[in-house]
Amino acid sequence: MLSDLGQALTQVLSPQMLLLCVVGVIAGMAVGATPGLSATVGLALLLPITFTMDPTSGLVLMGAFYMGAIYGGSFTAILVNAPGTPSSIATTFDGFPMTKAGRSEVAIIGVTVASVVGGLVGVLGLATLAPLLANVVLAFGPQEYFWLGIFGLTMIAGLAAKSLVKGFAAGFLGLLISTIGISPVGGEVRFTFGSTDMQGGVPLIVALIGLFTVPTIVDLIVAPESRSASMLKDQQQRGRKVLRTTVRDILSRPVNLIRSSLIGTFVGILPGAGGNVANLIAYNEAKRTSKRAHNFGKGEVDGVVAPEAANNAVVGGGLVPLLTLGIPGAPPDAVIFGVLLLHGLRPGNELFTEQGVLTFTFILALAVAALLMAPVGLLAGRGLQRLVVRTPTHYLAPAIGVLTIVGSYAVRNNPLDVILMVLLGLAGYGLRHLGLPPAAIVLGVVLGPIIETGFAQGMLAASASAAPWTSFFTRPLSIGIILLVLLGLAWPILSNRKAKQQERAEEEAAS
Amino acid sequence: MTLAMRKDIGCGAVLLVVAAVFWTQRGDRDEVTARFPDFVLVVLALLGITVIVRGLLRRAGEDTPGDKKDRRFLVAAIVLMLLWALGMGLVGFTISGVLAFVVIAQLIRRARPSARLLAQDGAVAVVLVVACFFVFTKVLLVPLPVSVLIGM
Repeated sequence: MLSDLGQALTQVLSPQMLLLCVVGVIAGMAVGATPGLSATVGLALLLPITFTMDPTSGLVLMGAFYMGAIYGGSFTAILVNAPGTPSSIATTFDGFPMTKAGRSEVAIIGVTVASVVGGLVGVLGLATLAPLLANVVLAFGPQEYFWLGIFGLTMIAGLAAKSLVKGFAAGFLGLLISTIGISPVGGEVRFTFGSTDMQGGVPLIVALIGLFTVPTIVDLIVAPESRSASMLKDQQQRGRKVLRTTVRDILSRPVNLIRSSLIGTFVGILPGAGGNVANLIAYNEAKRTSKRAHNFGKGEVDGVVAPEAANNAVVGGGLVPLLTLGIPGAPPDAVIFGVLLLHGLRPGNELFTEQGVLTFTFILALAVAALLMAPVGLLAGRGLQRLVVRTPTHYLAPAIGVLTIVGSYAVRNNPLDVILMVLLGLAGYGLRHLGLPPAAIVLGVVLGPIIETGFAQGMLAASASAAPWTSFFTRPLSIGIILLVLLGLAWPILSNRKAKQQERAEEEAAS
Repeated sequence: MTLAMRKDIGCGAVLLVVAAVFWTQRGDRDEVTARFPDFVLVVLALLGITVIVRGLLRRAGEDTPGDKKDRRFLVAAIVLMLLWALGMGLVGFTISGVLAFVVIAQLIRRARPSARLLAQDGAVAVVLVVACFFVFTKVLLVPLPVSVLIGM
């Protein structure tokens, strides 16, 4: 094994492989930064190119592209409130407020550091813990997925700025949107309003683009002067020391980085969960445990660090079940699975023993790609940030519109998706004014299929027992996640009470 | 009635209407798989009622500051976005994109449209939209809707 690792290291440091890594990261970042084009779509587009390559080169290119695409999704999330991929949903929560406050450069540097660390931790998990973690995955049943989805919903408590009831109402609206179309278990058609086009449901990316981006465009048209003010602030704050200060600031709080990366690695291992769930859970945990929790949602740098560390850790984590069991952890892994099969490589133990050099080259190339994100990302990301900041509002708003329209169309090549996206976006704009946060609606859309599938499959799996619902409360792993859910619900209440007590004590001391 | 009360009652009413409309569209029924959407609808309706009750119980002093927005631009933005979405399937990505781009740019400028500004915005729109069209159709192989008149 050690000789395989040595050979792999020599191979990955060859000029050809390094060039493939650079090309993959840059191309991935470009696709990831385009709303509507997810990492999966990009990898699928790349697939035919790898047909002509040898397996190692093909896998290295795919791995670097995947890593870059997940990272690239954060750029548009920060700069124009449009997550390039669903893995960057939570990045918008603090990233866009940072842009509005003139701190977009700090946010870009923050996500770069986070993505590099997250990517490396995920790869480390893949290289060292793959067989062990793969066994844990096998213990995860539908009941655990159900509770994992419910655990994600507890994040609403943090997203609901003013009213918890309205926050949950928004989350349930999202769950309702996720149930439109054919049910994931059983195949029943519901909520289609007689339209066959609606049987495919509302794609997550369409909902995501609509709910986040359309309100931004409308805001820019209605009140363009608000952006001009923030743009000026950004130019004032830019300085030579921003890079050094931000990197030092982020690295001075390693707990957030490491915890988020571990969350990403573990969630990545769970088949079907992926970056879109990992980034939300990591954000929630960062907020829940932060001393600066009150700053989250207003432009807190830890709020962009957590989701980006997690989503890049998913890349390595998601490959654990793929390389060991042949189960793709996330949709992009399914495309990489295709490349493996195409070259006659079968996932499992023999991939590490008989094809050790190839497998370790692929794993090491992921680490190289993660490291390359620092120079490439800082150059490209800050370049894009300066371009967006300098673009006048009267060109920025319609440019976002063009990307929004084409991005939602590209999901299924269906004009109906564009109409659906705009309708959802306008509804989101109106609901925001009524106090229903669009982020909570998106959370519901993301978690709905996981909760519904887990619930239906869990009930069916336990249908032989007299009370199948009890299976959700008796499995040891389920009990563990239920405890996390209870903690998630109790934490905001307890921390609120603590903050009020502290305020009262300060007032008393002052008087 | 304060603005906060009106917002709460409006929000609750929207939730109730959504729950009622979706209740009529539940479609095929299956004992296990229908439970989740039914549960979501019931909870949504209950949350709607809660929001209305909370709104009615609000004290007169509890109000939120209203945001003063120019309604003309708000209506224009909504109509424009809808027309853009509908128009793309009808007249193609490029024509609808260029038209919408120029109109949005003019709206945000807040200045009386002049030939010079229209030409400037039009040029930027054409470059950006056509570039986007070629990247998506030729590089990413996404077939975008085209106009029969200009073929793109």
